[in-house]
Amino acid sequence: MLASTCRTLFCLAATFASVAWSQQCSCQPISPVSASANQCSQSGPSTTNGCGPFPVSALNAARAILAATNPAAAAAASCLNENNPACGINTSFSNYNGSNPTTATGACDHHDYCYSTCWAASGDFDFNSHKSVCDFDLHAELLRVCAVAEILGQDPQPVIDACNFFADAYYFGVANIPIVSSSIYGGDQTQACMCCSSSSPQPNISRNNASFATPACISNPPSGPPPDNSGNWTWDPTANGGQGAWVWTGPIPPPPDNSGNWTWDPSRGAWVWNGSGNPPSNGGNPPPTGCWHWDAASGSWVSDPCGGGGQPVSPNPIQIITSGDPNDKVGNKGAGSPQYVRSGQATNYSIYFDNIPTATAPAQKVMVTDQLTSSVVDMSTVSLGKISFVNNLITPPSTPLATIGTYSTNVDLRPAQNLIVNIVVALNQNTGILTWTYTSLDPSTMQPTTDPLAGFLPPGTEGSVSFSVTPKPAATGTQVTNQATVVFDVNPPINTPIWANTIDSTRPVSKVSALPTPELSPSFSVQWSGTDVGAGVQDYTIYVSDNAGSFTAWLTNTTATQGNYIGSAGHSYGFYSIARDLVGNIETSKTMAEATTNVTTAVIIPSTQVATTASGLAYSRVTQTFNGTVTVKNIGTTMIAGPLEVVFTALPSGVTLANATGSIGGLTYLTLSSASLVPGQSATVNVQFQNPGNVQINFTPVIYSGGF
Amino acid sequence: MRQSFLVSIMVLSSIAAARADIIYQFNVNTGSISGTVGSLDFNFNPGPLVTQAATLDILDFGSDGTLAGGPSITGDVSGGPLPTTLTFDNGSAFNDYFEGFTFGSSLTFNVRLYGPAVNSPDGISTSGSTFAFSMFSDAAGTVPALTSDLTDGFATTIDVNLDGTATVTNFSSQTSIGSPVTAVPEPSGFVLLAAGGLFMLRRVRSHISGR
Repeated sequence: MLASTCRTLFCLAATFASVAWSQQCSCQPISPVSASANQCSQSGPSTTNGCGPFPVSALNAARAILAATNPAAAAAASCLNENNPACGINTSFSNYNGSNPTTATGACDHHDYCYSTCWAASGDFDFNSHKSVCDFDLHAELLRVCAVAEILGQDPQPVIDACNFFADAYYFGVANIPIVSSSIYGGDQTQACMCCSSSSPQPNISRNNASFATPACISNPPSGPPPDNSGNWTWDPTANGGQGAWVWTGPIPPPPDNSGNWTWDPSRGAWVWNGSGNPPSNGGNPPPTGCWHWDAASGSWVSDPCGGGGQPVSPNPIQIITSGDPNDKVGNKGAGSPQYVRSGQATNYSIYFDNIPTATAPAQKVMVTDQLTSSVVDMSTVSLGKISFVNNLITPPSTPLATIGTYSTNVDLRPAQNLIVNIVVALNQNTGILTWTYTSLDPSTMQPTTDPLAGFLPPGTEGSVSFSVTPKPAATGTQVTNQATVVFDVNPPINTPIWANTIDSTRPVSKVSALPTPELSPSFSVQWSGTDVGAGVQDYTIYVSDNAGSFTAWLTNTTATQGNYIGSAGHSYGFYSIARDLVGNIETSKTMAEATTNVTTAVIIPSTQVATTASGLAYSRVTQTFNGTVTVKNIGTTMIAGPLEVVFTALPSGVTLANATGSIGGLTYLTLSSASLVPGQSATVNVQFQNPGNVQINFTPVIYSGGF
Repeated sequence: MRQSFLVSIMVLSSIAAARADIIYQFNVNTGSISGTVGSLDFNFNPGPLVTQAATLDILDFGSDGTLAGGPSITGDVSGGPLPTTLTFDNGSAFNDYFEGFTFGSSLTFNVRLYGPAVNSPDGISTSGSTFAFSMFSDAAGTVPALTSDLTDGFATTIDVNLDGTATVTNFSSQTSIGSPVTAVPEPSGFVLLAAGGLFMLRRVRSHISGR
């Protein structure tokens, strides 16, 4: 009875030394953790099937060993019974009937129960020690069966010898065979201490784990396949807080999610949606590692260069925003899609760089390199613009860099951060390489910091540099391109997008359209137009000369192509235009009018003084015209001075006056009479209309007195 | 009762004087071009200002020549084909009847003008209407015949004036145009008829009251 509770090697040794061990062992039992919260309510062995099952071959192997030293004992053990390998009357190992602390019967079942009782979680025993106790108990109980059989005297000595031999053999097996230690005992303890089901996969419990804690039970792998059949998934039972999860173990970055709806396209380095229906809005979440952008057109997450491109992400990758995002490489916007700039116009460039938010370390050293082409730009005009990082802004002198040589400055980040940032800008005029170098210095040594977690550009922050340079004179259409390279610490260089401008060195041309002469009204319309090779016309300045005087600007930088000029009756006017294109090229200056006119002094005779009538219009098949007469009668009381003109206003579209005397202000007219009309006198003039559409001919006659 | 009679007479007398239709008789000697395959054209069009409605008929067309039988008609022209009566309205800009014609020795027809512009001019319109008659010695109507107006090719034009009268301009010495013939009662006849009716009514009522 007491033997089952002896837990010390001393007691066990005493047990082995004497069959009267029960009388001698006075060791105090070490309490199991039955009262502990870690002890499962269903503690107990998963099986209680006695000593076995052992393969017969194992028993025969043991008999062969026994035969080598004790042939008689081996001969007695011929029954090959795993619970009674000695084949004696009282040597069955199931005879052991210990009851404390278990209800198991038989030494082997008791051993099973010991394995399945949570001892390790108590903290009193480490994992290894507890198993040893169980194994020692088993050994002692097996030997006790043999000892009792010997005392009972019903079995001959060879049987007793065989019994003791198999008791040693069984103990040796459970104590030294690794599978018993690492798997069986570990599984039993997991069930007992973590209350996991017997079918749950067991954690990889170390036999040396002295602090066997209480992790959660481990979930079974899902019954279905991994998220995709790429073969790149492994079930990790410890992931997901011990619940287990499929973990990506492939050589490429894992997909955006584990839905199985993504296919890796190695040619593009992209995860492509292949699920039913549309992909998630904006692609949903990007793949969990690496740098990606969502390509809506192809429905795929495309790998971006951030030290990755499908490879593990660098600890401090940078992100150069791809084209379309203003925060990348920005130059003069220019005009139109070719981004025209004027020849000789300084071009400003800004280069932005980010330390992405998911980076694991700040950037310590950043180098921005911009390759300028001496055949395209004038190196002597390179001037630095603002330099920034995080919340720091540095304004270098505006003096051309070629004049000052190298620009260098230190930015002291203390006390917020124990760093000094050294910034050096240099231009190699021979190679055209313009370089900005940010270096994080340890203030105490003024050497690059050696702290891997120190750096001037923390994750999620950005910096920028800017400069201007003037392109050399070039023909319209010449492209000026610029690209920078950014290097973060030891990461590979990453190129920014190329910024391209196109030179427009061609002046625009324009002209004022011809004007009717004379103009009927002092307010008359002036129209102009222009063309430009390259960027296109931006606006016009219209100059006017009054009565042959000097030209002055009438409309300045107008985008309109017509306007109403208000002059004076009897004055003559001349106009020309000067165009400006969208990049600032201005048309060659002019000195001569392109359109001239004068404003008539003739006056309109009011309808109260004249009556205008007309005959019907006979159609001539010969001339294909409609012919008739118009008669004007002086119905007033005063003479109307000649000459008299009838101006045909509001003629329908398609109808023209075929026999017009001329046109004035864009209207046709007929001279009615060169003489004056006294009151009551009439004058008649033939009219001839072309009217190919046979529309109703009508007009509003306006009678002028005075010559046009 | 006597006063009402006098008032009625005054009202009827104040109605604008109605004018008669105007009929011209055309007689063309086409003997000089007899046998020529040519064409005839008639058009009646409004003027370019405000024009009062008018109508024109081509009546009693007769000739020993031969009509081609396939007129080309444009605008408000009804009736026909010739020699059946043609009716032209001046409601659209171009109202024209054109037909091929092999000339014989003569050609006769009447032109009748009527409608508001002729019978009751409104006094406010500012355009008249014009009728033009042309003869051509080609089927296409491009070579004027029997006219001195070689520019436009008109043989005869008739202008409907703003006062309801008509003015004939004849460029063809081979064309004789008879004097206008009135075809309806004079406007004064309507007034006398109405006055007579009222007089008779008065006599009957006087007779009844005298009983």
